[in-house]
Order: sequence, then structure tokens, then C-alpha cells
Amino acid sequence: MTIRSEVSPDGRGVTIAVEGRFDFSAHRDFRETYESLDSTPESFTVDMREATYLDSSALGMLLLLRDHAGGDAAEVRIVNCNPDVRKILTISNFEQLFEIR
Amino acid sequence: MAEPIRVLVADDNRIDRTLLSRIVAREGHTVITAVDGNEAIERFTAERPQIVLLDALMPGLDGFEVARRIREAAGDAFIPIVFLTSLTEADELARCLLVGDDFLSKPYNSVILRAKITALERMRQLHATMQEQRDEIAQNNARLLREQQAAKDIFDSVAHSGCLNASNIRHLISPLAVFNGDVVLAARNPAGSMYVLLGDFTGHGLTASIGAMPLAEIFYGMTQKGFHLADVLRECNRKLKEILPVGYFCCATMIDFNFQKSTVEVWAGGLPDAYLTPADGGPSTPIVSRHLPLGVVSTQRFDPSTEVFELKHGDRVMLCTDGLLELRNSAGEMFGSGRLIDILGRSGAGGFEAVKEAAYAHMGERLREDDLTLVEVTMLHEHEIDAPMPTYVASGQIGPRDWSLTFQLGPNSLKEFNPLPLLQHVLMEVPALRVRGGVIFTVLSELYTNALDHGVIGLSSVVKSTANGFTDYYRRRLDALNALADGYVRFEFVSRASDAGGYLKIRVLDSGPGFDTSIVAAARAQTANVYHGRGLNLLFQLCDSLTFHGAGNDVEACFRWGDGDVPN
Amino acid sequence: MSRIDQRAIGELRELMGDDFGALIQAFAADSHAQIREIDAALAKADAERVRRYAHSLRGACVNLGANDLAELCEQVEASGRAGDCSAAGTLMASVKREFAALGDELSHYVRH
Repeated sequence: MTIRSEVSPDGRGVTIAVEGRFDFSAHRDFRETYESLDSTPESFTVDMREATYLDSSALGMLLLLRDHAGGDAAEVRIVNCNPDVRKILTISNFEQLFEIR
Repeated sequence: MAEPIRVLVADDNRIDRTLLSRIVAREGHTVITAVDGNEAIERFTAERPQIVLLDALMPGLDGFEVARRIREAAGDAFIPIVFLTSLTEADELARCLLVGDDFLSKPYNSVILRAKITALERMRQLHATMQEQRDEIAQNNARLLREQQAAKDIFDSVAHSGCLNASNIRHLISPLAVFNGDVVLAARNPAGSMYVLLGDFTGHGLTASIGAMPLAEIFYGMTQKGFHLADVLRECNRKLKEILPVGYFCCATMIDFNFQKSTVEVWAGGLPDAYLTPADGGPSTPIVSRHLPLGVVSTQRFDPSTEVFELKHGDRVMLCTDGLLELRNSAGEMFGSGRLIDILGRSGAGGFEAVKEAAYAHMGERLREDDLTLVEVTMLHEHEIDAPMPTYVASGQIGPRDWSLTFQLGPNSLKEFNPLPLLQHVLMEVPALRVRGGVIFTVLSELYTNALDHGVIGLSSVVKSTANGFTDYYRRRLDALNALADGYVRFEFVSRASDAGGYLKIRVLDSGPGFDTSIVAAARAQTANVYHGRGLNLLFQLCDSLTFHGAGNDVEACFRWGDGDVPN
Repeated sequence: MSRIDQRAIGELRELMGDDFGALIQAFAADSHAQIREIDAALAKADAERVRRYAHSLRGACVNLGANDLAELCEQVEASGRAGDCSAAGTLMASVKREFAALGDELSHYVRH
């Protein structure tokens, strides 16, 4: 499980890529990624291309990110979801809170 | 110089014994001597030395046997045993190390002996420390287990209670659910409907299940008072949002089994599909989660909308957490929803048992029950349900004896506010009415539904009895309510009570046009169909008297007890 | 030539202090007794008993630095283990001779 982050060229968005199992063990690294930023970007993108698995603690982490990014006013996207990840997000109806692709 | 310790020197040869004792004493240690095996064991037991220097070959009891008995006498403690030997053969020396912890060869060398004593004493202390820590850990563990058991008892009494043992409910919940956050709640409301909630809290251990306490309290409290599903859910969501940290939530499915209408109303947020399996053996219909789990969004954003399904007698609804679907067998394959649907499709009324058996078979030897939670609720006739109705606790023994109350709701209230629990609460303050609480609530409910749905909004009750009728009906109802601009429903209560008896008059008026009251006579004679006739059959059965005034948008129901006579 | 390792004696003297003399006398007495036990055992052809006492005597000799006597005792012990009382008997003559000589030397240590 690895977390990598990248600021977009115009500095307004941050992409956080999760590789491997997105579960409880990712908690600290994931949190540090956005808490260590100097300022809160306009949008966050969580890239799930290399993520193999997602559980309820990962859902919790996404909610924490959204809360940090401004709650209802936040712009958080979850992209490149494989079918398994997609399914879990769908059952939880997270598309009501995040833009999911 | 090292800490002085007690050393046992056991050797039958006087010279060897003397030399060794002298060497040991010179190091500052206390010497205990023994001339043979038996004395060695005796002196060991009596004096408890920290180290034993033991001659391997003594007359009588064999040195190795002495060592074995000393070890036994030492019990849990580690007492180093050093064999004294002039043996030179490697395998003889090896035997010394097998039975004892070290050997000392002749000629005895005080430098070597000092070093050995130091090293062995260090080992002995290390061992003693580890034992202490081990004992402390064991004690802490035992205490934790006791506390967990107490927590589990509290959890069980709250989270798995209610009417789960009703004749139409079958459930499976792990005895260790307190640690995985699964909760199953079931209760009947005053109108006789059965609410069932299956919840799965995120997180692990006790933190996962602690949210179940307030959840259960809200569920049971509000269900008992007659609140609708939406109201209960809204309050559950509000409470969990308030107390759970961000990122923690409760995936839940809540159902309202209405035995009179033979429907089930469902709200599903975050759990895997529930399945509606018909009694006649057709395919199961999945009931999909359409909402976010409880505790995620604020009250303003919370969506309590539900879906309604019509059920026939014997139709079943099965709810499960993801524990069942993610169960893995020894080959790592998941149980999966496909398998579940397949079993439900071919097992008829034995569906629950079949699923349970299949789950256990799938687990095989890796029996891990801690994540398996299943609930099945079957639609039966109300009289077949063997589950207690709610009992009422009023604020005092003596209630109001002569009172009246008028309560009118305008369009803005009619849209969203459910007045029934509030009014029921007032009525239940009258002691004599408590025993008929269920009936009174049902009547209140029917009268209000008629007044609002058929009177103010003007929906035709005919729609309900067609296929998909209910879904259609509720959609139209919601649309009409949202668009409501005027209208009212008014309740007028009058009640008198004395020691001899009393009465309660409930009058409900609405702003609608009324209806063709000629059907009333037919209903009273029980020849009209229940739902076309605005539930009139039911009302006539339940009330002591029922009268329609005016255009029919003014109805009065009466209850009396003792020799209470209702004045006109 | 000394029959006792000088360094060993020196250490023993240092270890025992005033009790050095008593130790030497005890050794002499015990060894004498053990030799008689071996004789008695040989008379009964009890090889095991021979082995045992020879072993004990040898041990004390080693501790005292009387290495030649210790060597002889080891041979008696081996014979006893092998059940060969005859060989043991032959060796005992040497043992006694060596012990007598040793005894003389030891008495010097006691006096000085």
C-alpha cells in the first residue's frame, strides 16, 4: 500500500494516488498527504487506478478528506475505479458526495 | 562484586565439597551443602538456593534424577543447575547440558566458577522478570476479558432485543457481534406494524458497537410512540452524525412490515442488497441501497425517502451485512451474492436455514462466526404474529379526567409533520386508555390518513389495490404534499373519566370535499372492500361507535369504558 | 620431581588460608579410605564399586593437582567400567606406590 500525491501544474488541485490495498493501514499516510499541504487546494482527485481493494475504513478516510476540504463545499473526485471499487462506492451511494468516474 | 545469592553445593566427596564451598563463599555468596542426592533435595526445598552445583555421580540417587526432582520442586521458577564433573567424554558432558544448564570441570577454577555464577544468575533474573511480566499480562488479560464480557452483556441487552423472537422473524447474529459492530433491532409500533433495523457500524472492536446504544434507544423509543420510518431514521442519522467522529458511520437497512396493508416499506443506506423472495418460488427481487449510510450527512441533506413493495402472505425479506457475502472458503473464494440469490430461489420457505447451512459449509473448518449477520422477515397475517405490542409508560398514575384538546394542522405542517406520536402521547396520559393504546393509535392513524390523503389531497384509494399500486400511490402522494398550498386537518378530543368509567371522543375534520357517505352503511354491514372504503370496516371493528357528519369530511370515533356514556 | 602441580598448590593455599593444612590432612585420610574401599571391592569382584571409588578419588586428585595419581585412578576407573577387576587389581599396586610417595610430599606442605 503506497500513497503518492502530486500538485497540479496550476497549483489549484491535488491528486492523491492510492496503490494496493486501501484499508486501515493506509490511514496515517493518507491523512498526512493532505494535512501536510501548506494551503487547501480548490479540488482533490483521488486516483484509484492502482488500488486493488477498498473497505469501510477507506470510505471513512474519503469522508475525512472531504471534511478537511470543506465538507459540503468541497470538490473531491474519485477516479479510475475498477469494478470492485466502483461497486463498493455504489452500494454506499458515495456518488451523492463525490464525483466518481 | 555481584549480589550475594544462596548456592547449594551437593557432592559426596568431602574434598571437592570443601573446595567448592570455599570458592563460592569467597565470592560472598551463602553456601548450603549436601552430601548426597536426598539431602540435596531436602536442603533445596528448605533453603531455596538460586543456583545448584550438583555432582553428576553420587552414590544412591543418580545426579540426573536429583536434578529432575529439584526442577520439579522449583516449579515455575528457573533455578540453574551446574553439574560438577571430571567426566571428559563429549557425550557425557553433553548429557550434563541436556539435563542441567551448565557443567563445571575439575580442577575447580574460581575465575571460571565466578563467571559461570554471574552468567547464570543473570539468566535466572531475566527469567524471573519475564515470568512476572507474563503473570501481569495474564492478569490484565483476564480483567479485560471480564470487562469485555460485561460490555457484551450490556450490548446484547440493548442491541439484540425487542421482538426478534417473533414468529415471523428468523435471525442469525454472532455472539461476538459486540466486536464487529453489527446490530439487529426489531419492535412493533402501536398500529401493529413491525419495524426491523439491521445496522453495521464501521470500525473495529468496542468502538464499532458503542454507537449501537443511542441507535437502539432512538429506534425503540420512537417506534413505540408510533413515529414513521422516516422520522425514526432522520433522528437516528442526526444522533449518529452528532456523536460519531468524521469517517465513522452506520450502514443500515430499515423496514416497516405492515401486516394490515401487506406491504413492506424500505430504507437502505450502505448495506448490500436485501432480497424479497416470493412465497410461490419465483425469483428474488433485489432491494438496492439508495442512500448514504447513517451518520454521514447533516439533517438538512438527509434523505429519508423509502420504497414500498407489496407482499403476499409468505413472502420474505432477507437482510444481511457484507460479512456473509465476503465469507471466504479455504480456496479463498467469496460466498457472493450470486450464491445467495441461487439458494433463495430454490429453497422456498426454508431459505433462511438453507443460507445458514451454506454459509457454514462455505466456511468449513475455518469457522469464524464473528461476521455473519442475517435477518429474515416473513409477511404473515396479523393474528399469526406472536410478538408483544408496546406498553405505555405515562408520566403518572393519575391522568387528566375532564379535558378537551383541539389540534389543527395547516398545509406547511401537513407536508412534513406527523402529529400522531404527539397526539398518541397525550391520549396515553389517560390511564384507562393505555390498555387500548394499539387500537386507539390505529384508529387515529386511519382517520388521519383518510383526512389527509383522501380528504385534503384528494387521492383516490382505488389506486392502491392495483399492481404497482402502492409505489404509484406513494409517489403521487409525495408530489401532492409538496405542492400543497392550503387545506387543514383538525383533531378535536373530548374525554371524561370517573372511578365508574369514562369516554373519549375523537373527531377529525378535513378541508376536503367529503365523499359518498352512502357506502358507510355497507361498510358497517361489512360488505364493502376495506381499502376502497377508506378502511371503514376496520374502523367499525375497532371503535365503540363511528359517526360521519356533513359531507363525510367530519368523522367522530368514540371509545368508552366502565359505565361511561358518551353524551351527544 | 613434584607429584603435585605447584601452581595448583599455590592457589589452594591462597584459597584455604589457615585451613590449608586441614584440607591436606582430609585429603590424605579420605584417599586412604577410598583405596581400602577399592581393595575390598576387588576382593568381592564388584567392578561397579571399584569404578565408583576410583572415580571419586580421581576427582579429588585432580582438584589437588595430583595429576599422576589422577591418571592412574582414571585407568582403574576405566577397568572398573569395563568390568575388568583383574586389570584394576594390577593397577592398584601402582596407585598405592604413587599415593605413598604423594603422602610424603604432602606432609611437607602441611608443615610449612
